Amino acid sequence: MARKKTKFYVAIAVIIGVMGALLYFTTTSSAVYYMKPSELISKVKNDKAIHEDRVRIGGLVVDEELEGDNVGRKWEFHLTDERGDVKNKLVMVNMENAKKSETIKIKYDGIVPDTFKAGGMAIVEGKYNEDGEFIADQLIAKCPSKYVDVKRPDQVEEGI
Amino acid sequence: MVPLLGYLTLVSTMIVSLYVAIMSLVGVRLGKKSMIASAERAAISIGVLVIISYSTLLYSFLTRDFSVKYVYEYSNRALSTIYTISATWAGNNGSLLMWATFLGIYGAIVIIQNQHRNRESMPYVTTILALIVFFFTSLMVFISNPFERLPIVPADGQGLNPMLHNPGMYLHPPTTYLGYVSFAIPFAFAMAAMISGKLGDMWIRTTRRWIIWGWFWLTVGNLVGAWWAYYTLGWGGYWGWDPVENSSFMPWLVASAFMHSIMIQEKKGMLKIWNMALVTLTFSLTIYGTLITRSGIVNSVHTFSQSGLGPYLGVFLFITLAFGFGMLIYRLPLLKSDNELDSIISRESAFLFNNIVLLGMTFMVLWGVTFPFISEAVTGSKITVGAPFYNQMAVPLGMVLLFLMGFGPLIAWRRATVANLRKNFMYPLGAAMIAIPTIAAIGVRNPWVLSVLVLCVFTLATIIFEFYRGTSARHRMTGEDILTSFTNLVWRNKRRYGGYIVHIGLVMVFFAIAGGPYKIEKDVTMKPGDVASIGSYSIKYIESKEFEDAEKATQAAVMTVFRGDREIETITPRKELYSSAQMDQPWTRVGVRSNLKEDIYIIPSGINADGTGGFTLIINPLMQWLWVSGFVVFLGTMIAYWPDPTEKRRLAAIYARQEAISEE
Repeated sequence: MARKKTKFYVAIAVIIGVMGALLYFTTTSSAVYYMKPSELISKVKNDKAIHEDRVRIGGLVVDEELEGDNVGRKWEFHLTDERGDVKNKLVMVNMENAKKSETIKIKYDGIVPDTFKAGGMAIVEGKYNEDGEFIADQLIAKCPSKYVDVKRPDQVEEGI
Repeated sequence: MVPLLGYLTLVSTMIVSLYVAIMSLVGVRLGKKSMIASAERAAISIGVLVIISYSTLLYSFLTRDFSVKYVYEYSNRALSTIYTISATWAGNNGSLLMWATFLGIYGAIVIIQNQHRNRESMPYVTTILALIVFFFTSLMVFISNPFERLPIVPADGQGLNPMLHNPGMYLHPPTTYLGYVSFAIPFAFAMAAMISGKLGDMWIRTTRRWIIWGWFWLTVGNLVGAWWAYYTLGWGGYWGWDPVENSSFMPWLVASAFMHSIMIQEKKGMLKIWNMALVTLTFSLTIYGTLITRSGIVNSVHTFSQSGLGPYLGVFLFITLAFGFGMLIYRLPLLKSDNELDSIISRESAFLFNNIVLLGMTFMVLWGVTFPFISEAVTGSKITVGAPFYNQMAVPLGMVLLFLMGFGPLIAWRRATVANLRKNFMYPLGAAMIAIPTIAAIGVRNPWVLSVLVLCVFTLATIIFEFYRGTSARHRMTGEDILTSFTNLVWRNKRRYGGYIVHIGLVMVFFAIAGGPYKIEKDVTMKPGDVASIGSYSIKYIESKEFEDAEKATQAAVMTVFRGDREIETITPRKELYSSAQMDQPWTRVGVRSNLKEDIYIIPSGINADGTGGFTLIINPLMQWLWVSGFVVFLGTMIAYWPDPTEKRRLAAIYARQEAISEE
């Protein structure tokens, strides 16, 4: 019967429509830009409005001016773009060799996981405050190259 | 010597698998039984070869052979035996070998099982499985060699990442892989059915137990992964919607859909096209999961990073999808349904609805995982979605599934009438109605939690009602006593009642998740002597202790939990600093006190030398139900999986007919 088939297809269309709507609303309410520090810096230059939005920044933790502890739960550090020379030879990134246009100072209130350390990768989420400081409230970290022997630069990076 | 043997068996496996693939395919096209038989014998030998290969890797690890690069990278002399064994699958190369080993063994078993059955399709099954083995062994022989040597032998290895020194490490990867790899079998049979044109139900009946096996181990793998995250990673949760977690969740969702849709094909001859698509999708998702964890495409705390395997796995994934869906389109005319959907209110449509929701959920998880790449490709900026996205979409969809678990079994096939709706749903609905005010009265006001709990009651009631009705009907008919009726009911309908028990386990999962919104989390700074309160408990920091052993130095905070004046338990969250060369940060070990009502969970975020520390205190309601569910799911799966004499007889008759036809 054509009517039965139509009812059936309508039901499927409704279900898919509802799921589509669910997908749309959940995406728009939780979508967050993910950027490298250099990308955020250039975006801020061009568009002041970015200050309003929550943003995720992923980069390397600079090996200097890193302060904080998990008892007081206040941290300050710098994130800089991931770089090829760091990946392959475990050259530590410090404030001297980190480019200004690629480095952002982060203030973070909270606990850092065990994997957070200088030279490692971290992803923070937060936004700029009125004073132009980036305040993060979420942080996840990934171990730096543990298995690269500095004396054997040909080894490929592996991490957990 | 031994590593060389391992490498040679690996190369042999690669060559033999190519031989098997070609021999089997040519044999079946030319009708040469001797070629097919030769291919099958060779395929069985692959099962032996991979065991030898993996054993040599194990041997190298256990004998501390640091001339092997992989052994050097993932173990050291101080590593205990169980973790040395686990280290074999800790890295990319070894885990690929585990994949290939399981597949080789599974393939050998499948061939032996089908020596006298499915003879027209088996050569294609053999070819496809052999090609998959060929692919994985080639990856290892040419790129990610587990047996690669170092030019000089280091004195000691780098050791296993201390984060992996816990039961999760030896439980999670093997169980997950046991599940993942299983889906190659139904995929191979489905493709073989399409190639040979033998498109009846045989491929489903033959692989049914493989599908249950695969689904079961995927469930266990996911649960153990969650358990590992909860107790060892210690961030207070058990599921982060991390891309790698998602990559083992998506095959599970699709496999769950598949398990149900094949029932419809068996009973009603419907959804044939759908099942072909699903089996390809399930297997493809297992390859996709393997791709994500190894290619560096995705940022995750789990990934083995850049290994160069990405492009090859990507191509393999593409070929799998193209072949699976290509064959499907080619065979469309032969895949027509035997029946039509009679009514929207019927068991068939409930199953179909279940499939649509499960696939919808899979799509949304896939969406979340791939959205960053798509948005970057389209708009130039990377947009991510985090846990809130997944939770917001999973909750409503999960609730629909929970409802269907209760609704499905009670609704009639073909078309439900108002009369049978009323008869079947009166009691469960009644129970749900009573539950609403009762649960609200206990103090649950959050509408989402209330809804989920009421649905749990509804679904549990329908399942209990099913057992009750079946038992009492049997009792009335046969005069057996109640216990005998019950046992016979279950044992003569193992698939059905085993399935119901699995559903009870899944209800427990929803129950555990429902506790989430009532989680209490509190950050405190405490020094010895301080008391902090959380929920109805007070936590007294008794003292801080330091001690050392060969492996690590520990700084512990001894804390006693009180409820009012009553002492409940003493737990010891601590920080451990490992002495191996690459470990220079302390690892967090949480302290947990559990009962079925709630968990008291303490994370030591930092402990100073004087004992002052930052702690996160957490109350996780209903957490333990998640682990209890695993046992219930196990029980149900065992029952559903158990051999059944009636089924065996029926299948034997079908196989005999098959053989008689092919002899003609």
